[in-house]
Amino acid sequence: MTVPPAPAALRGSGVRASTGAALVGALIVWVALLGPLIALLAHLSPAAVLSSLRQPGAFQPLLTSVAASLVALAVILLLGTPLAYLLARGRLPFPRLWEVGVILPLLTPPLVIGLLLIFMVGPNTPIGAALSHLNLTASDTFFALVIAEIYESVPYYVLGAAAAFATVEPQMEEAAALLGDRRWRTWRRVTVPLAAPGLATALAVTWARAMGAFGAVLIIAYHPFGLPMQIWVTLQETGLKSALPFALVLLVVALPLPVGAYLWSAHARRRL
Amino acid sequence: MLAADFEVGRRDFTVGIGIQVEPGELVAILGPSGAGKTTFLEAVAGLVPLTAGEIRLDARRLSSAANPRADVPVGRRGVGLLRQNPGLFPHLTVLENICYPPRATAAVAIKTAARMGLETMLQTRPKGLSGGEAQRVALCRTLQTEVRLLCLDEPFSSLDRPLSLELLELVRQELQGRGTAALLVTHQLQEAQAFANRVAVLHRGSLLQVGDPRELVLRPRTALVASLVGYRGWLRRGEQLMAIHPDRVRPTGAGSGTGVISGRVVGMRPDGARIDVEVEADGEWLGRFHWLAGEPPSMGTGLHFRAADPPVFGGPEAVLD
Amino acid sequence: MTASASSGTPELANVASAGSLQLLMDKYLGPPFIKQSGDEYQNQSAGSQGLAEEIVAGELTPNVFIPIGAAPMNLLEPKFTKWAVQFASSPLVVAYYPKGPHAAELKKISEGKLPIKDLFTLMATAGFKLGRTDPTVDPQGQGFIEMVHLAERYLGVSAATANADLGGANGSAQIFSETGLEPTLQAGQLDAASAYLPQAVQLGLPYIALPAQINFGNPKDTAIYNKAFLTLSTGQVVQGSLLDLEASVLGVGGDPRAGTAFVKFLLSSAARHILTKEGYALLPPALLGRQSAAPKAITDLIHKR
Repeated sequence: MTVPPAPAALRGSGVRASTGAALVGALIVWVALLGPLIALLAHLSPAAVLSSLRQPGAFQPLLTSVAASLVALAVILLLGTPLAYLLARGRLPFPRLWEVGVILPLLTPPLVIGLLLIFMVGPNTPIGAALSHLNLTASDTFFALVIAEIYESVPYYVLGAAAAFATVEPQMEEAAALLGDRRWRTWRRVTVPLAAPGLATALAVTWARAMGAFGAVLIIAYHPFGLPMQIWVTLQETGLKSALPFALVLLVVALPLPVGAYLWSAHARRRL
Repeated sequence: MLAADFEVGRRDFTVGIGIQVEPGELVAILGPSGAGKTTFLEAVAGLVPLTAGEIRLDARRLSSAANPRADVPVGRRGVGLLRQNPGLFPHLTVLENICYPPRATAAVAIKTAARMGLETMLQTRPKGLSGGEAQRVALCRTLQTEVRLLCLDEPFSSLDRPLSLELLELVRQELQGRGTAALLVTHQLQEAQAFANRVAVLHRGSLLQVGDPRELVLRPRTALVASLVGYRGWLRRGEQLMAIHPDRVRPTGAGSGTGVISGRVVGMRPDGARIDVEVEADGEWLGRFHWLAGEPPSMGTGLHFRAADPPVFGGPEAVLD
Repeated sequence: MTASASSGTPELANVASAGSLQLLMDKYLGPPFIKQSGDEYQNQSAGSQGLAEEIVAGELTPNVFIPIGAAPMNLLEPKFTKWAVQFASSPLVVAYYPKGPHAAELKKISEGKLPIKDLFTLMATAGFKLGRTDPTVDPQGQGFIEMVHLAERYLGVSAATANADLGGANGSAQIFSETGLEPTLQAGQLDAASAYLPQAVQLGLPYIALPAQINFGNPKDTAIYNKAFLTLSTGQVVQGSLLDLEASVLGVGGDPRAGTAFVKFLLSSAARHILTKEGYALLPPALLGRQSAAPKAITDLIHKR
């Protein structure tokens, strides 16, 4: 099947020039974004990477980061999805208020989030005391790391998921209800599959944010070291050259999930 | 088996309808846009609550204004709804769509699909279907639930006329084969007559007349109903108003007795294979009529014609909205 | 003679100082210096060890370096500087939260009503929340550990108690970033935390002063301090030393005149008055390293006293 040529109005040198300019602009931005990565790779030698990674305990921060981020992601998925759905369907009273609440952690510098978390879940607060009955402390522990990561990344998921659910037409869910579906079955067989591409990209961004969380972590979860904290401490201990390999490790470990999510999402979208 | 006598308040007017549908009966609701047809069907399907009255199906109370919390939920009322937008699930194939309802089985689904001519499309996605095919799939899908009453909200109005009538016939045969009753809502008289045993005329939320499809046209009870079932010409004779239908006039010689109307040709235009002639009498516009036989008259010529059994209205019935 | 603005164009005094000196540098010493000299001034405060590493690696180019402790300064010798002037000390104390469950007892210890040895017993009790900074990157963190070991020797604290004080096997749960330690104590989520005396004074936190033998603030006890050792996780061995404030002018930062002017200012009576007010222990200015390498203006000032 041959594709008909673009209509005459969309051809011509004027259009070509502006399309070309847009492309060049896009390329410049893309290269600028990759700049730090290029700088990173330029400054690393394979020998430096290997020697850093061969240090005793070099893999522990990686495991800590991945474990904490997976836990954070699971909690965010569980608690954030209903909120995102209700936001998308406009079923919450005073919807603007809810939206502001979700955006606030986004607007708050992560350092400030950390400081405020001390007042909220520190060991001597009511919540902290309640947690200690469950043998959990939200200060300088793995649990605290998960909490810090959640606060730094949950708005990305809720907002992205709400946008994804908003693309699912309510008529779809109404049609399913008219066919005798119960709410849960419609959710599982219609809403989630149709929202899945958007949910995947939202999760990808959230994961990236959680893995790279630093500001709040610095305040309430200095230990155990995740990769960002490891980079920070190594920088102060022995300088840039030994800290950079960990930055590379962070990229290598954190990247596959978002890339996979984006690829899958694009593929799923084309089938709809 | 459907006994509906209810009201649903809307912003502009209240939809208040009392109607009964017998088992296996096909009823059409005829009305212009904005008459409240969709609201009516939505109430029967359970999508909107009632502000007065109740709806019963086989003596089971589906909705009631007195106790809305006890209303039977959408999807479990034995009522199916087919809308203009077929609402097919884009991520499922045709077969998966048809088998979507909780108790659907593939075997039954495939048989129904075959009757609708869909057997070659079972693995296609909705994206690859035409409008008519999509509505057929939607119908198959709805029929996989226990439908006692099928509501149709002008499902074929976005398709061209011949296809629309063809699909309506397909639906009609399927329903009669199952003995399922139906409520079709439409703004086209032709569709209503092709489909239903009984036609009801709806105007601004109220039913004006219910009856046999042909009788409705031959004997409209008020001028308003007449205007809704196709009468296009109006002639005042003193206190009375005569309604003239374009398909029920015949040219005749001058002065052939009572019932002869004289007028003058003021306009002409083609309508399909016929010619529409616009006639005026005594400065009043009579309407447009079809010239059925022979050469059409030229502009300005005098015309005499006779209307077959025109309804005449007096008093309050003569009000045209 | 040097009271008015310097000749020619203003230069920049680009200071890198220890983390705990931030408030002092930014708020109390910076503005008077700018007014007096007419030069521009800029300060960056962070862990002294880390700063020294960054200077060595060439990532940071200040022209004045003011660490706490000799170790960071030693890292810069001889390549970046050959001298330093010691002018004050910042002794260790234990700051505490005044409304915590143990506050009453801590207050009695701070007032001398209970012996100082009780502090260590108290810190070892289960459920006592103590916070300190990271020894791998912060001299205060190193100092605190060494202080506890010195307490074993000079206050008769048992080895078991000392071990419990430092958190035992779960020591890392006590370690906070410098940015996080103070807010956590101030919010009442810790019972006590390591601190410098000036820190406690500036933040208005109640504190328990430690005996001179173990507080790393008295130059006369340097020999005792040197007896404490600590092996970091990197394998590096750190020797306990006086927590003194040293200052030097670095060539890599350029603008040597402004750098020297700032160090001179540090030694002036106006600055020393401010230092005392903010809780620092004044020491008579002493030249360390190769005296001949120091700028004449500095040596003259020191010998004048």
